[in-house]
Amino acid sequence: MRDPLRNMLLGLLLLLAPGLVSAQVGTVEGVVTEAGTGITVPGVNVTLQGTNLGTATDVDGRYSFSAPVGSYTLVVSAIGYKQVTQPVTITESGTTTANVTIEQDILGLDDVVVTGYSTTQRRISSASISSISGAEIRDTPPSSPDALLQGRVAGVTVLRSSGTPGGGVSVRVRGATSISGSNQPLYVIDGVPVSSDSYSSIGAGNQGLNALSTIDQSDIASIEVLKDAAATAIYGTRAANGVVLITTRRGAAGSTEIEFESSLGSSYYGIEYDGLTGPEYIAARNEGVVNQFGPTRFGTQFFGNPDTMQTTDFWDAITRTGIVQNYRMAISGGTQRTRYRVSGGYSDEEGAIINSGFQRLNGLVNVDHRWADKGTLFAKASYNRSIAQRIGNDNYIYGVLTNALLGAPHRPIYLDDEQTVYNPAAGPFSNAVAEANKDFNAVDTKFLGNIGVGYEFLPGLTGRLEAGLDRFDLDEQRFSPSFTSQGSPDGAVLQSINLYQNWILTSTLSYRNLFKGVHNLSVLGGTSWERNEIEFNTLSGNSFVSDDIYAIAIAATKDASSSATESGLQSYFGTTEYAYNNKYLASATVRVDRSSRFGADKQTAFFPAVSLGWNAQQEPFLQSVSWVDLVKIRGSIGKSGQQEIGNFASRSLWGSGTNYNGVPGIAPSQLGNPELTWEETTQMSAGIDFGFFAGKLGGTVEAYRKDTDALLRTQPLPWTTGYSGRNANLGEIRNEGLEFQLNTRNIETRNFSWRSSINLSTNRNTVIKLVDGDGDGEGDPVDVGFGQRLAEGQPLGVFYGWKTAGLFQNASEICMTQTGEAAAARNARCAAAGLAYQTAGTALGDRRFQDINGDGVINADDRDYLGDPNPDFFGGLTNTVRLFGVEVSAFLQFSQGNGVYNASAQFNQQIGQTFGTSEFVNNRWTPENTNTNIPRATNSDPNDNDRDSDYFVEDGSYVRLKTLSVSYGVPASLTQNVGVRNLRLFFIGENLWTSTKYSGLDPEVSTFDRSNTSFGTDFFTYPQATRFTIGARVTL
Amino acid sequence: MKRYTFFFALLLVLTLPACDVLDVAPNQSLPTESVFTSGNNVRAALTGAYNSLQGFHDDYTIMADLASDNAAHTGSFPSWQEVDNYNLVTNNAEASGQWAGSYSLINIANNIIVNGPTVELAGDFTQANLDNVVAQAKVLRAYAYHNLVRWFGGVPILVMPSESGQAETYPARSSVDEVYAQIITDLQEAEATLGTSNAPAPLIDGWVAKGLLARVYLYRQQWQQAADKAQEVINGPFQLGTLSAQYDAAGGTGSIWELAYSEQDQNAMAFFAFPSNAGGRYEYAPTADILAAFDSSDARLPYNIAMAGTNRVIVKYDDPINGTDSHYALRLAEVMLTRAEALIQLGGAANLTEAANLIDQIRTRAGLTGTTATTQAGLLDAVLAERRLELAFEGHRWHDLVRTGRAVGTLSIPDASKTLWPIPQRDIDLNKNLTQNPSY
Repeated sequence: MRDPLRNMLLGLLLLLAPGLVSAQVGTVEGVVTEAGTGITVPGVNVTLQGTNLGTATDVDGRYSFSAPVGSYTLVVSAIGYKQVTQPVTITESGTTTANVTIEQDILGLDDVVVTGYSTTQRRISSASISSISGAEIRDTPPSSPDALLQGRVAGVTVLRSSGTPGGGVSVRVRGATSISGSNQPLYVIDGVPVSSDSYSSIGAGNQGLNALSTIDQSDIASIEVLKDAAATAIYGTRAANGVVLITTRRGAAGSTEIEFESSLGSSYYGIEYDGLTGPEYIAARNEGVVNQFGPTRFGTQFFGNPDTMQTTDFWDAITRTGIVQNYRMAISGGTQRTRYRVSGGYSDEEGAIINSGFQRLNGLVNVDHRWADKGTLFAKASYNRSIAQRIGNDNYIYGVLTNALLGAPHRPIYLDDEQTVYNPAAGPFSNAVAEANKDFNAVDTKFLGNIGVGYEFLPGLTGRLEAGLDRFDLDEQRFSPSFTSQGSPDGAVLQSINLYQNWILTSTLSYRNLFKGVHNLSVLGGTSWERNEIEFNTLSGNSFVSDDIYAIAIAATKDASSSATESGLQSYFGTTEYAYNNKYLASATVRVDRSSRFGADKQTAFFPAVSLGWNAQQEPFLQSVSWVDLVKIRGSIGKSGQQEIGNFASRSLWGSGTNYNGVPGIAPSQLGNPELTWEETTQMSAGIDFGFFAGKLGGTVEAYRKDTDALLRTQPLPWTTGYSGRNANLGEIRNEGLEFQLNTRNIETRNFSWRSSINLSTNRNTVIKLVDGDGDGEGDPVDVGFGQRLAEGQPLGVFYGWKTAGLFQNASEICMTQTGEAAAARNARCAAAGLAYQTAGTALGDRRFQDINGDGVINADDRDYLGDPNPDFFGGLTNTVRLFGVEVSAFLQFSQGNGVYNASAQFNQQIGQTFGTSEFVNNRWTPENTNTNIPRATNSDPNDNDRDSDYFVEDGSYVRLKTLSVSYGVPASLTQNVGVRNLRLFFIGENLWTSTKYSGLDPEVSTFDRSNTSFGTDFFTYPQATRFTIGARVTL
Repeated sequence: MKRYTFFFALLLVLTLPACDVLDVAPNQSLPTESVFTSGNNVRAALTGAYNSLQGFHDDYTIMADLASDNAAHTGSFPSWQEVDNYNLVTNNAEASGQWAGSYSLINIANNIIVNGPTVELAGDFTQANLDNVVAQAKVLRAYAYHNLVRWFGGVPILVMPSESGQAETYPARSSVDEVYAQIITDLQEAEATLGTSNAPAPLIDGWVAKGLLARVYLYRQQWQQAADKAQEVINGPFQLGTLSAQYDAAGGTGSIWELAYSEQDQNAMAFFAFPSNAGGRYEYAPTADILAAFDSSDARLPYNIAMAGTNRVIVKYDDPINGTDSHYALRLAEVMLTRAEALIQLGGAANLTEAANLIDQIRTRAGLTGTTATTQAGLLDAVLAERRLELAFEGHRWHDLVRTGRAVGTLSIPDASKTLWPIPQRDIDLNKNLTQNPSY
């Protein structure tokens, strides 16, 4: 068989493909199935230990690859399964079959966990890191990755600011640490830190945009949430609020796989706003006038005869059932040397409020290439474009919901029968329907990519060099036609183009080895350079010839402005992890950050952290206990920082815009503080990971305390300096909490299985120290938001106002000024009678407020703390049941004990007044209807019933069926005939059911978007819509 | 493998120098250290100082009339009410505004005066140009300290730019004499530099320095210096002109220094004075007393007061919509009356005659006959009465009453110590070295 030609050809081939394989090769193949159920498992990594050879199983659980002849150890691993090793021998030109059964592992001890700049194995990690696998979030409605954390990770509070498609999401990992800076975690996608901020420049109320909503969740392989100091310290000055690492899916060697997914559904409100009818509204308003002034010359019907009034249903006019469509396609595959995954998608969601919506086009390419035995190259490029169709929201006189819910119901929306002319009076400020018909889009075009090389210089010693870029253009344009209040009289255009760029260069050198079979050591050191540049441009044009053409170029008046800012971060970091015999674990991390934001005297920040762990189940005394799989006790302590203090907050600056006599001037705008630093968090954390009954039950219990000091605040300075203050590090906040996570496999058979997962967390937030400006030795409280306060000893966001004591039912309860009586004498007399003077206009049926200080008069000194927007506990519960090919997964998300400040009610329950449109008005106090807590109707509220009070603080606890998914995998025997490897049909529902005592539209709201100090307020905030989609996923 | 090692090392070495990521500069602002690096910046800083003065000059002007018998509060601002009634609370917004505004201007002036001379002379930024800018800054600083010393008495004297962590952050008060010494030093130094230079009305020149010196000497009762300095200005290039030439357009003939305003930097003088149907908020109005003080044939009356129905309205500033009215910071008429008053105080027949003549020049322009006063006491009353009418609503009356010791009597102020405003409570709280004025 010695064929010189064949040998020559082979030699030539080898020359062309150097370093590929040696001459003698064989094939290893097999099927990977799940123990217990016998289901084949796709996406399992199959490699030969000590080599770079391997592949992943296809959708049918099959794998096949070639390798040089020899004896190897086959390593089979997958997330959620225990790792299996088994010997294989590969013979020349032979095919070795190695079928492997892998056991489910809810403890995930063999899972690879992504950490900062590296990976580790959960078994030997002593840090607090929560993981979400891509599979877990695939069958969920399209959502941004931050929103997907909700209810899935213990210790992570996620609050959707509103139901606006593409709207803001606030994420807090183990509580809020900052007042003036950011409380959002650092997001790192494939090693590149990305911005999660809004950057929206065109005001539309308080709600912003979500920069992360450009990411398609089906591209996500895993999300890791780094929670304790041991995990986060390596991200230094940006890690105080935790770190969210997102890893995207990459190709696997093997045959080309094409996946296509399509779904269609709708978005609508399952709730109704119940407002007054026109007659009811006018009746209440007439009553208000009579109550306050008595009958007028119009008799008792100042606002007209109620019976003649028509009724407009504004809620009906602004809501709709929107269409939701979603299409995705991914192609992946590759060889031993080169792997790729290319994906693209389009989604279009019509919001449940007219003319709102969100569209996204996204593409992602991941490529991995082995350019030498020891060298790898990896690249990623993603390009996403999203269009948020915006409408005015919340605290905004041009807000759609605001105007609809405060609109006088007796007024029609249109002035003519053809419905072409909007009625400007059909709304307290603007016509809601007209305002919704603005042309208002925010187009976010984002490029996110990175490229890097790695080389293994010596066994275990690997160097990596990587460059990444996060770049987006946010182009917002709002055209207000002439028929809107904002566009009156001749139309107005506002356009804002913000350019954002953040690049990072990272180099690391890592070493990992197992010495003498028991000393598992890894060491990593690295540096990174990062630079951030943002440019803001705003253009405006007013007065157009018609509503049909609105290019700024043809506007009668135009204006433009621009600005820019930049910052830089230079870092050095090192971490080491050591495990002895998988039993005793330790890690240490150090990060040194130099930031352009810090003061001249505080240029270098140092963040150390250490952790220890003990796998007690490895000890002889527990090894004999058969039902114990895992008892890992671990603890950590360390520091992290928060550098969102503003790019130039430490500098002394002179600003422009100070003109005189037609000449531009400059003047001091900020007094610098060379001592200004990052906010610093010291975190202690301890926990137990446990697993019992052969993997049937596993979980984690963890406790932490985070102390944050050096909070950025304004230090007031005497005016004699020429300044009112400067930035300084003056505040302190503490967060303490408990986290509990439990996963169970309740039933597991071939045709039926039931799994559950629950997490429960509690966090106590306390403001410890604020700025003392008045020299009384205590930090000065600051009123924030609506009826909220920032105060020492209280949690961030605590509600503050007057306490009610029902309504005045007897004249003897009301203490009024007597003729000629001085205020002080009156107050003393009232106090002596156990009463308190409220206002000169107080009458029966008005709210009675508590005289907290007992001085006989109700004033600002009687305000008290009324509740807390932070939940007592929160979490999520997922139950997944599989019966034959049908899988049903129900995800319940809950929050208990969170107060909501119903500022909407503070307006739409102004009984008898312009804004009083709520159905609550019908239950107002009258001499006939005294058993109520709704005050009497008045024309202008002389008693100030609507002041900030505990009446408006409601229990916002809720349980919500966040996601219900039903999917069915069509048996391969049916699909393979038509060349389809896998066909999955699914139904996904979101927000199908909510249980709450909250009287407003939605308890999960934050009118001030991601505000640190005034969250949990409902002020005509868009409630979350119910969405459902049905679709199919096909794999070819 | 070596070549890869080399490749990596090369990459690292190549990237390192390119990575001065920490070198960043604010885009909208100048770091303080780069302000005093060019003549353009120094001149821009001076413009910033004028702008700072604009910021508090409305109240500077209004409060002196509101607190006096010239005007009364007719609006809704409690802080104005308190000024009108001489019972300011210690956090009165108008007092805080004058205090904070004056010190803000002083800080800019200090920067120019101290750091300006460190800038390299180049191109059109000559020594003479630098000296001129510094001199203007000194006049502005003196003007701000005079504002402070009149309202608050002895105040902290700060002559260095504010910097973080400096002892000057928490200064103690100086005496009234010390503050005046600082004012006079600044004005004299500025006068020495500016000499008899003549700049357009919105800008400070030698005549402004001289005129303000005359004013300050009058406050200090240094009669001879006041008379002499006033005479220098009277001999200068300014003419009294007609009332129309003075008031009907910006940069009036008799104006030595007018603060200029435009649509870009508006003032609220007419807005506060005019009734709402004329675009104002009628926050204050002339008293019946001053209306009666004007002779019905006084040609100045229509330039000061008009009737809107039964409401008296201040009409010295008449652009409530765009706020472009100039402020009369220093006029020749004031300097003439300053000389007249100083001469009367010096006494002697010749001085009294000259004083009467100066008063009559003012009265003649107003279409009035000469003063009938002849005695020293009579002429003193006459000159103060003339000052009240000639300088009505230009920010003088209260201070004139206080400096002549007539405030308590004329205005029937129950507590004499209320002729000084309280130091803002905020600064008292923040600065333990600061003491409050009596009775607050």
